[in-house]
Amino acid sequence: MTFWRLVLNNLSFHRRMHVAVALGVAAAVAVLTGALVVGDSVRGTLRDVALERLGCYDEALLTDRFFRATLAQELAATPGFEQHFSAAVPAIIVHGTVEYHRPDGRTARASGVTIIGCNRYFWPACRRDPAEMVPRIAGDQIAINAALAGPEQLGIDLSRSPGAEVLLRIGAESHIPADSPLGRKQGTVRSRTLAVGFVVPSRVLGNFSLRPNQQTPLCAFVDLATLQSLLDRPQRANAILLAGRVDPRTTSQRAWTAASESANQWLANHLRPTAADYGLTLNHVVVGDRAKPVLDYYNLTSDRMLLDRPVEKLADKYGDPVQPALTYLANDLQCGERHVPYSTITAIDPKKGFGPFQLGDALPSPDPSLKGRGVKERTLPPPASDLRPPTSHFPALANDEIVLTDWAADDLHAKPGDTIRVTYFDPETTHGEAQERVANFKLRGIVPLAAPDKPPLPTNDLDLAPPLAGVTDRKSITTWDPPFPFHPDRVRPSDERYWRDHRTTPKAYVSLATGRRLWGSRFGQTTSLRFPGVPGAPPQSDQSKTGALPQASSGVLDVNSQSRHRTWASRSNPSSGRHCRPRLARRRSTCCFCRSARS
Amino acid sequence: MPHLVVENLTKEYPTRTGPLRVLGGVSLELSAGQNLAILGPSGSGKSTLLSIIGTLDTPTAGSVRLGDRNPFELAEPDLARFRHEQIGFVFQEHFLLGSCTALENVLVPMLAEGGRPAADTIERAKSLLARVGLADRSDHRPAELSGGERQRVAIARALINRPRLLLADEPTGNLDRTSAASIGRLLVEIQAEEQAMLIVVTHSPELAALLQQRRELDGGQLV
Repeated sequence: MTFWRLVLNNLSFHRRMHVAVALGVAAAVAVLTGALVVGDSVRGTLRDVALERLGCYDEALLTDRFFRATLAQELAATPGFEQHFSAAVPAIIVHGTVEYHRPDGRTARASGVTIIGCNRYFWPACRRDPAEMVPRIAGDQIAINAALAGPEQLGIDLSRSPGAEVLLRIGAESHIPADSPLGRKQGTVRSRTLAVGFVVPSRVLGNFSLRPNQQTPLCAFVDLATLQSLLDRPQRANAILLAGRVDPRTTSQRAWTAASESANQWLANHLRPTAADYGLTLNHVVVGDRAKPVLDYYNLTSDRMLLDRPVEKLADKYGDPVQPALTYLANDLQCGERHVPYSTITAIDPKKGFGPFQLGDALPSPDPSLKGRGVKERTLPPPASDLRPPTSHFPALANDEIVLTDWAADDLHAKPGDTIRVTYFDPETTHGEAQERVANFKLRGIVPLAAPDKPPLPTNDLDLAPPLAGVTDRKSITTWDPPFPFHPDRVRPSDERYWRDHRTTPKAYVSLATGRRLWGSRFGQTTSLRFPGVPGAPPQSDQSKTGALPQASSGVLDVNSQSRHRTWASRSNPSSGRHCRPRLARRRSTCCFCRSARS
Repeated sequence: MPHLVVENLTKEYPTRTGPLRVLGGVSLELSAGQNLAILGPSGSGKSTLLSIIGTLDTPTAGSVRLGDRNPFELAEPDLARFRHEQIGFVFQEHFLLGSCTALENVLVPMLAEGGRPAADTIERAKSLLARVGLADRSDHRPAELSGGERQRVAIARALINRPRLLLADEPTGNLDRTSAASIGRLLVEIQAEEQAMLIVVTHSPELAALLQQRRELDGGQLV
């Protein structure tokens, strides 16, 4: 007997078991190999489909807001761009519906169509052969892919119906979310009739899609300027498509991944959107005389009314010098039987340098002898420069406390200690319907609000309220066209006078914590961040001044070059005879005082 | 002069609560032709002691000398060769290969030397089978043998290399009383004939009574 004989003996002796094990192993190998082969095949197919849809575009910036389309050009002009990318193309990518009235009289409608607004560089960027023809869309044309043109969708055959026209419908989202009572829910659909120029084959980005989906996408291509016009977003885009230098079809996965990571890193370091791209505006607000302003600060606001969370965190980052504010609409202020409709109410913690008031002795109680008399007949408060200077951090209001301006307090016949009932909309709608809520507060104090012909006070700050289309741009309250349920019959002449004289200037204040609890939502809980200004600095932007601003010096936030400079004619001003109303002051070019000051 | 000298053999196993001492300074000596029975309750360390003497395990402290060599000073290949040449094992289970005949099972240890076993080796295997009373069963496979017969084949297999030390761990544990007495006597007789040293670990007083010396392992010490 030898060792090998022993082995053979053993194999032979246990042959049944060995055969069973071999069969089991064979079955397992077959199953695993089959799964791997099928998986690899599926993976490869999906990869090919994805690459065909992406074309040459390796990176895409797709946002839920519109930014400057020139950001793509700026990126392409950045040194180092050409090492990683061959092109940067701005685009608008939205979803919409396309309708076609067929020659047989029936209407075909395709929904969920990806509408791509692209310029003339969109296709050439992916052209591999310079001689290859690429689509060119005229302003009144639309190009559709084969899936959308097919009989299951629109059923357009350009050989039989050249110049067929389709109706393009797109939901134009407002800046403010529709689920907010201040967001538009109706009348947001834009439509335009366009001629189908051609059907784009899949090999030239006809199935362009950023979504990894097995279903063939329905795509329609429109000239970028046409789509910008349709959406009323001139010079704006919501996507940047970047064509890479490395073709994943001809490069190893490892090399492509390395190139992609390098490109991503470069993008992270060099993509520099400005505040405007984020929908942010930083205004330099000066209230009062420039030499001795009552208020001098920088106001950061968003075109979405509420600041996004990352922007809100600026306040945490810069801490004490920053004053966050949340201004909301009170449908009704009530004290006893008296009401004041449609008032702005601001949640804010008073702060040195910002005001808008100081708790304690500085809060004058209304003179009982003036009860029931108009505010204009009251003794004027001291000029801004004579106000007792704040000595430290101002105490904040308690959660159940409210402060009224003397205008509102007089109108409500309210005195400290009274209960003020505030009616407002829930910050988020339910099934699209705004729900009213009520909160009761104890009147902690009354702060003065200067009449338009008097020197302004810190409470004369209409920049606390963000602009709202259909409301803040109207001359009178009765002409409001708000997105929420509105009852113009509640508006009194005195309210119209307030609107004429003070516009959106708040009539009431609560603590920031209380306001955020009542009016904060998933969309945000801050309408503005107020950063301190530099005393004596001119309202225009310059480096010496922006150095005092958080991030302003880094270029992330650019101070609005047309800084907001608002004032009232003062008694000492020789032009006091020319009354400049606040609503005009917001339009600096027509502000009589500003014009004279510049001259 | 003794051929097997075990001095202060200590064995500890690490546990989560600290080292567990199984053997605490075991010493013994054995000369050629001598045999020894080691008794003790379960868990007393009998099998551990046998494994260390048989170089299947290493001691925590102490030494084992077989002849003039300390096997734990050898490298692993040399230790395996040493074990193959010097020590024979008989276990409670016979561990015979079911695919081989009795004769082939006896020859299995010789396969480690490579090639075909020499004729004299085959003759020795046959004579060992004859000595254990299985001359006419050499072509039978283990499945065709009784429990006692299988253990006899295992004894023949342990002796094929003419080991100087024969270690038996409960060799009769799986056998009935009659077969156990027969196997015990056979083991002692062959050991005497081969002039080998024999150490038997057992629970059986009957088997122990057949051996020259009897020591009990208690609390890690031989008494």
